[in-house]
Amino acid sequence: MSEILGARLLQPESVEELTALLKQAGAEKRRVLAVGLASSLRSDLQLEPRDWVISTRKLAGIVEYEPAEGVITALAGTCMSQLRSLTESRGHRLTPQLPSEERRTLGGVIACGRSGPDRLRYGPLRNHVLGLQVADAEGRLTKSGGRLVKNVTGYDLPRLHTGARGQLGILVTASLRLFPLPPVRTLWTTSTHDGQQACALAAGLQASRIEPSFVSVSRMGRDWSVLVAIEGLPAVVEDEVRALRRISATFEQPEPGIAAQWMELRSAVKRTLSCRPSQLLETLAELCARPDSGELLVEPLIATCSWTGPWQPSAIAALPRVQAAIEDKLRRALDPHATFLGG
Amino acid sequence: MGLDAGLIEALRRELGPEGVLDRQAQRVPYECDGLAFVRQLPELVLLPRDTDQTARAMRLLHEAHVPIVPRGAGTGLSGGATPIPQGVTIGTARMRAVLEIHSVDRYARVQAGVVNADLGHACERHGLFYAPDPSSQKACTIGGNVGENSGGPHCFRYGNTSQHVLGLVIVTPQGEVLDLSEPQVDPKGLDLIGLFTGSEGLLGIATEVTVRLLPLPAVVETWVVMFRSLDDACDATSDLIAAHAEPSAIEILDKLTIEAVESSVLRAGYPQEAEAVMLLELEGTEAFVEAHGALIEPILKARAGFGLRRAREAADRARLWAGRKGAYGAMGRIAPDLYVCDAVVPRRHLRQLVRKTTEICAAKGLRIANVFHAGDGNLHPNISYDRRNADELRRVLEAGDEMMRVCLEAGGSLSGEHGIGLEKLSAMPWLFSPEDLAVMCRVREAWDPEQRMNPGKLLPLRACMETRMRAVEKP
Repeated sequence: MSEILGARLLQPESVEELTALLKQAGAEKRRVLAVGLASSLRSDLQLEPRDWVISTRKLAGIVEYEPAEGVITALAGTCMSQLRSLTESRGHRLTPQLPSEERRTLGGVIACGRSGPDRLRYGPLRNHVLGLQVADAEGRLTKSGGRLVKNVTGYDLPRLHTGARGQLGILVTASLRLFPLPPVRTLWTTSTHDGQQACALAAGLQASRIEPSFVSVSRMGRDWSVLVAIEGLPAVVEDEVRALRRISATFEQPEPGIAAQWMELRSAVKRTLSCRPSQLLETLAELCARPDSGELLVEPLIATCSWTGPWQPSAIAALPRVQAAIEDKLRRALDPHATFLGG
Repeated sequence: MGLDAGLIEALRRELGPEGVLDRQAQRVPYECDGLAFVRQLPELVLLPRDTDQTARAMRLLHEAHVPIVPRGAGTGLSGGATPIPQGVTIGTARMRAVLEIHSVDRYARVQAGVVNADLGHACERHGLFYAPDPSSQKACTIGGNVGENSGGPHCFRYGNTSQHVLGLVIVTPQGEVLDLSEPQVDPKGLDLIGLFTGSEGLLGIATEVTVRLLPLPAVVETWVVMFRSLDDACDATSDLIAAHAEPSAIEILDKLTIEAVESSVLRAGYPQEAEAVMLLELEGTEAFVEAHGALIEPILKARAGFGLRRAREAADRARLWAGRKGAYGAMGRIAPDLYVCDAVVPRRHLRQLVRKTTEICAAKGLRIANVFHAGDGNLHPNISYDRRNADELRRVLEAGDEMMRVCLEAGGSLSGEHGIGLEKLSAMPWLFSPEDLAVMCRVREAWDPEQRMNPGKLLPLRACMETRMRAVEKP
């Protein structure tokens, strides 16, 4: 692959090469789209032949990983699956848990602000990006945050970059907080013919004292299924599984392959809506009523609904004026020549 | 040179007589925050009642180019609310309403001046709680917590304030209202809430805050365990982290703190032969607390922990915590003033760094008491001193700087929860390069091109001047 959407794809192999490319792009007044493996490009993205796509995929590797600290620092192009296998081998849980991690880089995941279903237990990705090194449009490298689990020194720029889709600079290295890998990890599933009932079951979990790592409701064909991850120390898992089966005795450990099927569905969903938990059933009913919503994936305790079909909700409201003005000023402050395209 | 009388009149028309404090006696209580050795009388103090009044006052001050210092309860320890010459302090003391508690969607929307502990009490009857619990929680405000991205003992499990802020209403330096109060799963657009939290009053004033609430745990168990050396207590902490134990808080108090606490009205029954006391809290289901307790206890024993006490009843737990929560007050017995230092270090180096900070103070003839959030590597070496003794104050500040440097050399950072403010302004270039600081200055200028909001705090002036010069050179 040497181009993306008609623009040239460049893959620097060192940080020096990256900064040199950025300087050149600046001198030649080119626009730059920063990508990792370009697996999550915006569907309406348009590039011109003069634009450059700069991928950080070859800037890969671990910068620092002290298992006793619970923090990992890696170059932005490091593959998420590699980070996961390394950290799991030392007893750590890497969050977010995403489908097809072999096709995602650390930088790409942060730039897209992608949280996984495990945010139910661990919180959203933006809580875990502890520090960043970023290259600006002039090829300058700057850092913010650190490699510490607690730190309030200076503005929280890692949060500003998380989810900014590379509009404010190219992520070069990132530090993530890790969590203890639960020694016992179990999955439970049950199915119903009704989405509302499936969500009610999930709400029952919340009312009980169970703290699952994730809860997911999906509609594939006519069937609705609920998938619950219960993890922790053996005695805790045992206790929570008992509580789960009190909510519904139909919960069972799934056939092998269910988890893979579910991951596939997570990969296939195209759009996501979020709402307040109290509005979930209403939102879900509206979505179910659409013949073109396709297969559905609901995270009931986070209150998001995703679907595979072509249906698009009515126009997404524009940002309020004051917010849009501040965002615009921030973009101009950090990228004065509007070099970076948000991908 | 005072403020223009016409401006003061206009402000009085907007805020009413109670909202404008201009007599000297009214302004004196605002001359410092918890960084008490720096004092400056504010030119004027404004106490708006709500977002609208704040916006109207900010517009007038914007037109008159007057610098502004936002202030919550003034409990901050880094000088973030120290007034500035020719400046106006805007306090949130009259914004005390809990506007909404939504028990299904699990959030609370409050005015910025609501006291942290009051929010806790308001949530309790819904079976919910607000996690960040700074030691000053009986006085400090949610708005101030947002400004400083405050922490507290339980942030070991739950994270600092920014992990709990779901929404904000911000009045910009120009007096516009940025309403981000509706809780969102993920930010729509850039994460302005995340950026604002911990921005120390340099980007505007938060007037309303929407915070995430959590369900009260079924079981809360507090543990107190003693150690015969501070080293052992630190090593036990590092062992707990390495073993992936999951208490909600791991706190350590050292000998001097224990003595101060035990000889005060706050006595918690910590034995005097202990060189260090560790407080742990376990929260969750019965099974969770039992299972994690069984994991933790042998780790403490392996480091010669003794005298373990466990309590579940609220009153018993409160007694065990009393020593920790009252530690700062109790230190008043040692000397009239207390310099509360705040630094973060990698958790695997806890023992070496606690030792080094102690040695630095000893070398300067200073009395240091350590009471800190061990689980997060967040040190609080506290130096007791008398600010009337100029030489002692000088040694305190020198020791503070030296402690910061050793923490930074070990890969640490300047602040875990108190912020930079005035106190650590000069240390920012030790951690960040001029280019790093220039980025922060550009972020600030996007919000406040005149740099009227809390000037002289958080970002060294030189870094900001350089950014401006570059902007002038390169139009």
